[in-house]
Amino acid sequence: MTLAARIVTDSTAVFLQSGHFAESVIYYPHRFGTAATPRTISAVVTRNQVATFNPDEQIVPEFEVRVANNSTTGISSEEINTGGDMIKLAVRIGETPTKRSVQLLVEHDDGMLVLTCR
Amino acid sequence: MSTTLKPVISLISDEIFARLQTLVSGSVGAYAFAKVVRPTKVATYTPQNGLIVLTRGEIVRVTDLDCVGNPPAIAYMQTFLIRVHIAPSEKDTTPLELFEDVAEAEIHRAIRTSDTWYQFNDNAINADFGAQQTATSDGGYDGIAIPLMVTYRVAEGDPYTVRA
Repeated sequence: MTLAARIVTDSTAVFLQSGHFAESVIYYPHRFGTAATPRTISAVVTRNQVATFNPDEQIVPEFEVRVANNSTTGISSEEINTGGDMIKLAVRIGETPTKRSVQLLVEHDDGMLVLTCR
Repeated sequence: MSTTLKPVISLISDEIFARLQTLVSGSVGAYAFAKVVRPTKVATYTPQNGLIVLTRGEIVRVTDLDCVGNPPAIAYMQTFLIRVHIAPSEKDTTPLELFEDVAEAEIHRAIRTSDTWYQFNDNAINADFGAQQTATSDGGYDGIAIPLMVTYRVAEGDPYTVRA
């Protein structure tokens, strides 16, 4: 196994284990007319409660969401669509999860995607 | 804090909000908008395609429209910003300008409900739309903001009492 392949494997085996850093969230793909089934995936969520959202000049909670680049256990870089995809997660730990828009694909590689949700 | 009794400017805000909501219910316009929201301390909405966010911008005194009396009437012009989030599919080949044009046209239609639309239930004396502005975010394009300037008059020292 190459080093690159090992890092990709470790991204799921280490970071996205719910017993370690990850939590379960629900991904809602927006297929724009084609039926799509939501799926539960593992994600590492960093919650920024006080983020200024420039277009509205408002304080809107912001989330950095890291998921596996995988169309089954995570979200594939090919399928992600910032024009309607949503992720259901808790704004604050312990609260009832709500759907948040996937606004930005910040970066991605073979192993993971880094998304900004609001 | 109880907010049962509302100043004139709050009544105007409520009426603009109510008119925008007709775009969501589908009772006005040909296109469905997602939701209309107003600011809270920490926003609970999620930005999405077709979301309208109603905020206030600058307020200025309009001394030319003051009226004498006891008490005198004091005129203000409040700019409202009607922000529309436009986030179509990444694969949609429709020019963004078309979404902007449609959103602006629908908002004008929802706000201009009658010949006396600018009075907002007899609480204002004039209103006018400004030119559409492009809104940007960290991801680049986000949508448009449509300024709506509303001029109203209240009794001096009593923002609850309208002086039309």
